[in-house]
Amino acid sequence: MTIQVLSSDRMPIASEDDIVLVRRRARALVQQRGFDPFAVAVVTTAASELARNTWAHGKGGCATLEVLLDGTRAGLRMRFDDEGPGITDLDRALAGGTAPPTPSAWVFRAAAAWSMSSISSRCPGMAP
Amino acid sequence: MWRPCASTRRTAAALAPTPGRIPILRIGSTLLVTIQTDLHDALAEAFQEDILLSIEQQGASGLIIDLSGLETVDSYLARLLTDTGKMARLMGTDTVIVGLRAEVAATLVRMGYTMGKAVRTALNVDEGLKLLAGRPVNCRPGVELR
Repeated sequence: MTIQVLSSDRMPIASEDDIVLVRRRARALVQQRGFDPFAVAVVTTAASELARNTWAHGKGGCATLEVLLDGTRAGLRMRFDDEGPGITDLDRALAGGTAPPTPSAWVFRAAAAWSMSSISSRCPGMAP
Repeated sequence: MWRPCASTRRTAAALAPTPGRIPILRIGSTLLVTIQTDLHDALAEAFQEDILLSIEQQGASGLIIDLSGLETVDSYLARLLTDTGKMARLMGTDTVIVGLRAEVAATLVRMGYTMGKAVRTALNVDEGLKLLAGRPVNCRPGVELR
């Protein structure tokens, strides 16, 4: 089954206020798709963490929020692109190590895991 | 492929009307703050400073921060609130965070967040006031213990 992309929003992260706008948009998208409140909170929090990292550590950038449909399951794919220096030791950072910049590493890992689980297991069918 | 966003630079004007500051109410010697809006970072920092200044200028034995209006608490805000509790503690004020929603609590714990000892929690404002007063806290809201 191929995954359909139902919609794609590109949002700039060029100021602190954009963090709020991105998380609100992420919230609205998954609420529309009938995610339960726990999944909505996880996705919204992940969006907030990633948007803040993009702004605070990556010098701003862009969020892309895509609503996906895999058969009857809905999901949200969030992509954050920034123009920052990057992570020097990505493997170590993803393993929860202390490679700089540490503050974002575990957050990124957690957020990535959440988004995946939301897509793979936590989503109910499409909202009517 | 990565390309820069069409930079429609937005500022606070793009957000819903941002209330200037979060009101701080006083009940006896306790300060009560209810956060009802989706905080952006600058407002959160201003909020922390306002609370500390209120404590300094007016004194307070307790501080209750009510989060029941918040649908999302990310690590930044969680840390800021915990820090506020630690700062208030240094000034002799006990902090109780109340009204955390189930999904917010679940998300914070999954994220690995641990709340320090400086901050206590209660289900709602009523229970928070009881906690600060050293009175027994109910098991269920609205049900008196016998």
